Amino acid sequence: MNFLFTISIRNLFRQRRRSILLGSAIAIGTAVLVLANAFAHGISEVLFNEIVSYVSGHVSVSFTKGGNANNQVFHDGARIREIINKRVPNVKRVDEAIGVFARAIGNAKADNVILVGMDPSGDGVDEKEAEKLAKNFKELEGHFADLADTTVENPVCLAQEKAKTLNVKLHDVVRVRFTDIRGQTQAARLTIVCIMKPSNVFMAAPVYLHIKTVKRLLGYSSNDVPQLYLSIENPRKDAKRFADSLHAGLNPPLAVIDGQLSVHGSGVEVTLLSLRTDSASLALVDSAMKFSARTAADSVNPKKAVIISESLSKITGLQPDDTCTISYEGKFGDEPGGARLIVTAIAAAGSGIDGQVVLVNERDFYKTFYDVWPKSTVAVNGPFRPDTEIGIYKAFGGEWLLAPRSRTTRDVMKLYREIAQKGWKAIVVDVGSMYETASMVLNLEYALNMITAACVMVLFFIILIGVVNTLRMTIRERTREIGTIRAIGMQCVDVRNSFLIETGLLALISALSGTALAFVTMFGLSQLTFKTDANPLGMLLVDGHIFFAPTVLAVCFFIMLIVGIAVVTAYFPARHAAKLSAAEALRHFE
Amino acid sequence: MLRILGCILLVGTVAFGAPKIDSLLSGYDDLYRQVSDIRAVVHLTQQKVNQGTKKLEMNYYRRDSDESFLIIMTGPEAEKGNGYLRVGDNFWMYRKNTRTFQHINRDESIGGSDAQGDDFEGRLLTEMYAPVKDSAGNEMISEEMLGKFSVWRFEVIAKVNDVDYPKKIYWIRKDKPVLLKEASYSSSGTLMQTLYYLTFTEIKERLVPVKTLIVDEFEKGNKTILEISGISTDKLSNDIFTKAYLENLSK
Amino acid sequence: MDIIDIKGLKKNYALGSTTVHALRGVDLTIAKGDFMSIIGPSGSGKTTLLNVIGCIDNATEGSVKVSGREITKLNDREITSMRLHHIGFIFQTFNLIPVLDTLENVEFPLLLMRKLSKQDIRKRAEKLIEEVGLREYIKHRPAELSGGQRQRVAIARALVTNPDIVLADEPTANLDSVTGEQILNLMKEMNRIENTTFIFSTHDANVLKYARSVVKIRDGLIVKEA
Repeated sequence: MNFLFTISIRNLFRQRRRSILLGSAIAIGTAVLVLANAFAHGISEVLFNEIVSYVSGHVSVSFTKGGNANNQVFHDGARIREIINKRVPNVKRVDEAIGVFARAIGNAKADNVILVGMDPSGDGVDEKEAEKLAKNFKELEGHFADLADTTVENPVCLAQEKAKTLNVKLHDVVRVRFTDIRGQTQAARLTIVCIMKPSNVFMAAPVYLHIKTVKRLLGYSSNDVPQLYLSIENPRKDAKRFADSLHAGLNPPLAVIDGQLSVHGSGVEVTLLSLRTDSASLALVDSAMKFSARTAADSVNPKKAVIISESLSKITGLQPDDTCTISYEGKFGDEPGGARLIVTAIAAAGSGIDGQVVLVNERDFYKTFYDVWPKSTVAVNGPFRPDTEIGIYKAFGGEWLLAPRSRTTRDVMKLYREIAQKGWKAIVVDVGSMYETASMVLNLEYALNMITAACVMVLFFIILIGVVNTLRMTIRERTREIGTIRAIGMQCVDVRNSFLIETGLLALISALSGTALAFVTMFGLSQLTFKTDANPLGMLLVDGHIFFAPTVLAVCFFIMLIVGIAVVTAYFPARHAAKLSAAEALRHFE
Repeated sequence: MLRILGCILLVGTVAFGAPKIDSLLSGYDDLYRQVSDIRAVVHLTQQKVNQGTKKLEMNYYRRDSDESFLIIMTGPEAEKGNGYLRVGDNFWMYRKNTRTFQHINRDESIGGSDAQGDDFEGRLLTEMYAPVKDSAGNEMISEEMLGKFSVWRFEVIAKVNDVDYPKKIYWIRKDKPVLLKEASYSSSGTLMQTLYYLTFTEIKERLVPVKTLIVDEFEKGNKTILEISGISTDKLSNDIFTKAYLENLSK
Repeated sequence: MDIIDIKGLKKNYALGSTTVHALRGVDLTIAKGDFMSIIGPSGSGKTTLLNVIGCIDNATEGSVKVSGREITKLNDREITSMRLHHIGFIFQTFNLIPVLDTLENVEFPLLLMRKLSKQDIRKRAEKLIEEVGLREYIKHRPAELSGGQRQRVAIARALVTNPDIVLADEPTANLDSVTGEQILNLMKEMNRIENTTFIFSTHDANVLKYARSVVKIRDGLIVKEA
């Protein structure tokens, strides 16, 4: 086999000009291919690691309260984190994500800004993350770490451009007006502790505060969490799977409030259940419940319904239109929860809710429930627990509402439209993976991959035409030689193989040179600095530089692919040459 | 912004005797409950720093029975024909150029103004606010001169979370129970907005403010003048509060 | 003992629409160790006969036994192996492999055989190069050699596998008379040393004196054997 190589290599150098021409074409093609791929991969690296993980997380959990997508809060944060830790193995980081639109006033200049919370020294921010952070937020004046400075009033970091727009300098104060999570108009003074140069325009728009500061300003309590972004090790492989698993873990338990019902000075232990007001639940109420007394003559308005069981009515003497108060123990803090309810109906025995129970319309129920999260849970025994088999069970609300997993961005948008329209009273928990939430970004990556694929096609044709033509010429020139070696006793397959080896070697050397060329070009291009302050495409740059991310695997694959294409293309002419009759070949004269 | 519009159309002579804050608030609420259907032409003149002046003109219809309303923009040219319709829990925005209705969130801004959908929800002041008391337990109410008028000045604080401003101060004339000024504060105590009720007209024995100045105290220099004319309290036809009517008006 | 036994050999070629009858029924036996010349004018069928004997062309009709094997019934692989192991070729135009030097050209058939070790191949090749007097040119490529030197390389290459038969098609035609004589002398010498059967074609009467036996061919038929 060795001598085949020797002959092939020497033959290759024998027709130097032709080999160089074809080789250069293949090399340039390879360079373009490697370059395009490294660029596409670089962009997707930026997209996935820099942008997606900040913009939507690889997996995200949102908590829409009151049908308002801007109002993201869940009151039992520890529980959610526990579920995440259980369901998403090796989660790299869980970021609390808050972005709030605000009107900012600097020195006689005003502008719209987004207040974004972040934790530069939080859990999961390892050295690598810190380094990335430092790269993404290049400090010009002051220190990013000062966001955590508690001696300064609401420390804030903003981009150089933003500082210019607001006409402010380091240590100046910016006043902001925004709406907090309760919907109240708020104002705050932010002290600039850092002016930075972000690595892409995308990060230039917001002003950055410590997550604790934003949460305080927006009225989050210590138990509350905003939307959560999860960063995971291998997002492409695992994002969808983990989102599905997390979704399964977030199935809400039935919401119960166990408390003391007071009427006319006497108290009785009761359980409050939420009565859902969607049309399916309303139909269930109509079909499954009978009322022995009610305020309105013909129907129960579920939106204002407070239904007690007949047995409770007997114990307490409560009748429709009577007022009672409920008080209960909260899960967090000392403050008890409570509500004032006006009874609207009494459910007849056999409606499935015989016992010390009050069904409360979801609007009033969740207002109470979320105001002071009750200590009681459905898992622990209380005054009343409904039988899961009863017909009306499905009309009882959970502690939150779990939105079905959206499969596309369109589904996500539809879901949020629905949330806004239906005005669900329960907090809507939605789990998304970057494949739905950042599908635009993924589409961009797809487009770039298509460009790479187009490069492969072009390269394929270069090789096809180049190799076939070159080989035909070579074979024609070497016909007598083929005759000689066949006459001497070289087997047909060896003749064919010598041509294949020759072509393969040419392709390999060219592909390697092309790869080297690509790396030199990448180095050159990544030295250029682009000013893209106003260009949104600037977000794809890292620190103003094009970011290439070639991978060993991809480069090896391309080299093998090119050699493969070349060898396959050479196969038929080589076989044709090998099958020449020795006598005929020896007779051949140019 | 349009919340103010809603309120202003409701403000009238407050029937109260003793200057107890709760009674002042409930008097306001009573008045609110007495209100009938309304139809009016509204002019908004918004003045923003470095952005010049923007004039909006609209026709406003409100049905009292179910708090439905319809707004159709009549000026400026760019906004003309656009409208908003609310019936019960449904709230739509109508765009003339696309001839489409879009279901909108209650928190959506109206006509790019600071007004929000829920500004129109009728809620009782007594449900939302309670008097502020000093350390001695006395209500924070005092006598003051506002221009040439002698007024009661009193402070209220939000009882519930879901209000726009957690703290307000009202100024009401002593001789005639008419609201003259209203200041709104954020929970950090920053003055965010002040309303001055400038001129009034008498409708059904109530004084209705027809010219109001709204001063943005946060972003100094921004102000809005709201003028109301052509007020009619005749009962409105049910046909008005329909998509078809809005589309027809828009043509 | 006959190394070649040909009976009723016919070979036709298609040339455009006509058929050329290159051999029209040749009967011939050649003894082992012979140094035979096939003589005849151009187009008489010399080369065709050599090609058939050398297993690089197949017979249209008849029987051809080389080293006792009937070659007309072999497939391509077997016939290629036959050429490699039993037959050596010397061409009029030398036909060396231009990218290989003298040593490599001589080693080449042995490498194809994949039988001997590298050292043995080297030894055998060097011995033959020495015998053909090209020791000093061992690293020269064909282009750096004269015609005579090239043909010596070709002779060494033909003999390196220890073949039963060496076929030489007009080995001196491209050489001047002095060199031609040297080559024939060399061939004769090798015939003597290695006891290899040599069959060479020529149309030069001067060459005949070297031959132990002569076959005359004309129009595809043997006209005289001596």
